[in-house]
Amino acid sequence: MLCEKYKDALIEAVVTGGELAPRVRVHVEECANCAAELRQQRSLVAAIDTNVSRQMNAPVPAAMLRRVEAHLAQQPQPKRTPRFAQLFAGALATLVVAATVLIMLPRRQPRIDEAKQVGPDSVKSQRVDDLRIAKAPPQPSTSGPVKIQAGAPGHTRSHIARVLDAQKRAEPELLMPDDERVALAQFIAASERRPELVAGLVRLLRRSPEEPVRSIEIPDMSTAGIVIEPIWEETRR
Amino acid sequence: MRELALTQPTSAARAGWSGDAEAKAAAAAALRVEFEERLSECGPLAFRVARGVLRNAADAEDVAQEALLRAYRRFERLRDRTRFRAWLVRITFRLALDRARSAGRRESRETEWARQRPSDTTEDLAASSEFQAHLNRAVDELSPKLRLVLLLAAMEEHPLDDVAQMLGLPIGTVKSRLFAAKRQLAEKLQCYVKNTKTR
Repeated sequence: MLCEKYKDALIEAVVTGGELAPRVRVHVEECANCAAELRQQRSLVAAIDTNVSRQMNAPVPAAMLRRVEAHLAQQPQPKRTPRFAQLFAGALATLVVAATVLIMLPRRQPRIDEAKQVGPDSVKSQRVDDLRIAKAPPQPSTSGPVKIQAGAPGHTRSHIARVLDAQKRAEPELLMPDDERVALAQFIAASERRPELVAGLVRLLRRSPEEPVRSIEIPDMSTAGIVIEPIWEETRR
Repeated sequence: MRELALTQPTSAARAGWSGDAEAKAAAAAALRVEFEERLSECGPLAFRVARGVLRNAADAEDVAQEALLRAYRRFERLRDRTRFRAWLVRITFRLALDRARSAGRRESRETEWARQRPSDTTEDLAASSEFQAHLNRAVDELSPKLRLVLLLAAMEEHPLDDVAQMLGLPIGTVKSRLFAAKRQLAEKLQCYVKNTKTR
């Protein structure tokens, strides 16, 4: 049994086959146990080395290379592929994989609830198609024009930007100038106080989707009173 | 109206094509000659690496042959030909490990490991087949990184700096891996120390 204090140093010396450090050598000379253990460990490591070395330095069969050469002669000559062809093949493969991934990715369905923070409660978490079932109250109040202010309470810039973003992603895309787009966003934002207005509009639009909508008539209320103020004046203010 | 007519390739064009084919054939032949030069140098290395893993000359020759053929097929792709030896060693080692694993699965079903009584003296250890069997098993249990370093370092014609160059490792890493490998082997074979008598 090796003395604990010198164990690591002794094992290292045994495994590396190196010289013992002076203090370890002094100890081994004095300690019979460590001296005996050291001899045994050295014998073991020598036996390991001898065996591994014998296996690794076994003679190579003389005929082996001839047999390999004979096999090589039967092989077709390796073709030299031009470097540009390898690069082209790699680039083409990458493009094909990228195109496949893009095609296979499920298309994102735009949801109107992306603007749910600003929309009326009846519109929240509903798809555009679902809005058909939204019920407008029988008697909406239409007293006075609906004025939409850019700086309405609760409608911050980021809030409007979110609505705009949701609109941009909505289908079908609304092609309109930016100022009108912002005005529409503000209109939607302001409709939080008037959910019946949105519900009535959507219901009317979805009644005959094939025909172009020339004018919007809401039976229960008049749109003539809605005034959308120029937004550029609002931002300059 | 212009007439379109199929014309025979001119002799110059024919000469161009045949010249191109000749150049390709010459390049392929040069490639083969270059590979065969390396074969005589590296063939024994592949055999020994395979034998170190498989411990069977016939299996080792099969694996070395397969590794050399694979290396030949891909030789053209190897940009740095000076790395051929390292490349071949890795291919051979991988193939030999795969072969040993599939053979080991067969063997483990058929034979149960039996521990025999250790030899009486340490001098008998190296020669004892029982010790060799235990050692082989302990080597098999080493991680591939340690095992490859142990096997390559045991080859007489490959000093440690050559092994380091072959594996693309710093010499210190090779030394530490060799130390770890031997230490693990020694720990696994401690039963031979405790039961041996010293003369």
